[in-house]
Amino acid sequence: MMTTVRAAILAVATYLLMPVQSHAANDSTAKQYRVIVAASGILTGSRVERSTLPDQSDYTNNLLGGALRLTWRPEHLVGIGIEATVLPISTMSVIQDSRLPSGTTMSLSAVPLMAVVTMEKWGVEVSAGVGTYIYTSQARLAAQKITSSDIESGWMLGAGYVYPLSRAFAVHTDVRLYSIPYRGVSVATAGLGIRWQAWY
Amino acid sequence: MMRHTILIASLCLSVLSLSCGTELQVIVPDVESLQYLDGTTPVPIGQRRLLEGIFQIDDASQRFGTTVVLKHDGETLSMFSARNVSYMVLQSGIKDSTIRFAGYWRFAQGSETGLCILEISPDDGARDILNGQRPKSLTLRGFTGGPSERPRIPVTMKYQRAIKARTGGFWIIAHRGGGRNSDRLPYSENSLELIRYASKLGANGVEIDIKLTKDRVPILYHDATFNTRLVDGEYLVGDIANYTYPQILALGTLKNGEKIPTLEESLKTIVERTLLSYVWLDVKDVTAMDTIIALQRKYLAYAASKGRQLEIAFGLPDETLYNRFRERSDYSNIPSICELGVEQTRTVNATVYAPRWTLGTQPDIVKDMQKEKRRCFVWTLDQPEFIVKYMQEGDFDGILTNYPTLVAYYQYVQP
Repeated sequence: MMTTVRAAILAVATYLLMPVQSHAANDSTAKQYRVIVAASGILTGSRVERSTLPDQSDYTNNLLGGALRLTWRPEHLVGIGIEATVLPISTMSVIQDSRLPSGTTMSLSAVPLMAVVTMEKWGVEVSAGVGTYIYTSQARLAAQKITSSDIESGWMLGAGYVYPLSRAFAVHTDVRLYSIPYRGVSVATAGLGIRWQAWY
Repeated sequence: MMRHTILIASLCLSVLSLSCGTELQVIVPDVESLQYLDGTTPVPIGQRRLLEGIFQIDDASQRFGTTVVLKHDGETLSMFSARNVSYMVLQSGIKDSTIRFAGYWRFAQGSETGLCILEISPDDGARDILNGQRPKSLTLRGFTGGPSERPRIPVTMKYQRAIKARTGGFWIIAHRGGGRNSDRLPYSENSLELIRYASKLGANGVEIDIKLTKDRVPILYHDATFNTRLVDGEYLVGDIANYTYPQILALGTLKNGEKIPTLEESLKTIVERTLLSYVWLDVKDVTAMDTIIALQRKYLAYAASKGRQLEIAFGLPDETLYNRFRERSDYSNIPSICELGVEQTRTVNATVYAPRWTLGTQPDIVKDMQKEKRRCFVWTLDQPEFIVKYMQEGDFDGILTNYPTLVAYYQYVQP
């Protein structure tokens, strides 16, 4: 896993450091920079290392979330931005356990707040980000709800395709890998969304 | 602009790269695979102490040094050495009038470990030991090796003299029940299993950390929050006080798979299943004080009823706990360990004055405290050079450490 991640880092770093041709060539208006707002719905699939579960439970790690990204892109390939994602990781409902009442449901989610670096050419966009994850576990039983949170750091890698609909709007689809190494949590997402951009 | 972008990207990628980590584990070698003790009978309990002493190693001294201590905890024989902070834990059995040992060795401050087998032949002392007599000469011969190979490197340990115990007793107190998770011991810190193992590491006392759950159950846990340093449990996140004990049990385990124990279970285990003589309660939650003191009293009485020589002391690590402790009308009758100043120690009539090791050996203060019938424990002493210094120059009655094997070595090897 670590070797794969390091290879990916090396590949991204190499590409980023390559000489860059002006991206403004694609933009006949030759503006200075673009601001891009992208919103998407995501489907998640998670993996949690060394999880402990009740005796019998109904466990789900494919859930729906959403992502919002704001990017500033000057006249070249690389843009920088910030991103917030609602990243459901798993839910679990207790069927039978000697310690927890049946019907107790647990959910685990994270809200990564990240600084991202993106790169786009020929409609293909790759991105990487690091930042803080607000990591939350929630227990529910009848009317009782317990929420417990912690702050973790983590990273994200993504790749996607942008299909322009007009000068300002585009649809985009992407896959991303979010990781919270300290928690041993990895979440893969597939997203579909809309993108709006303005030139300045 | 491009330069800035590359700089930011490089920074992000550096952070990303650093976040990739590998958890280093030290697996205890599979001693059973040696089958060396198959068909043996146990060494009689009364004769196990005859195996103890200071021994000289002629070969394998690169690994274990030339002088080692052998000490029996009633279950297993342990070897302690200063070289590489090494130790062995050996099971034993008798076959054909020969005492056999099989176990593992480990460098406590490194990851090196391996298997070892030893034996005492009838002529090397086994005959006398099995007759209940101290042998005129005693030699253990055998082999050590790597973690997954049959031991082949010869090792010979020759008895030199008896181990020396400090007059009035000396407390080797293992931090967090035996050591930290980062010390890669066979069991997790603050687990029942590690507490039971502590004496094999040379400890005769343990320090344990106590937090309170939402349903006010005192549990053994060190940190303020659930984290992957200490627990495996997907849904255990954030403050311990957010969860009830049944929830904690159902949703997580300690790092090596053990259950997170309650203080009550731990004290019961110490009384019933160990020979430990000291328990240092490191209280991490001021609201848990009254509950913990009630358990302290209950298990002091229980230990006394079992004829066990056991002290359980309530730790006073900070002013908040100290002030709350003083609000109790009976504080001067509660055995306590004061980590604050000398005056606070006297005010609460603490049984132990426990300064941080960075305050030095404090010879005059230690002498004054001992005159007042208080003991002095220093914490948390881990660096070998300082353990030597404090053992040789200091006059403390006990040391709290993550490396009890090393303190045990210097304690017993003294002339």
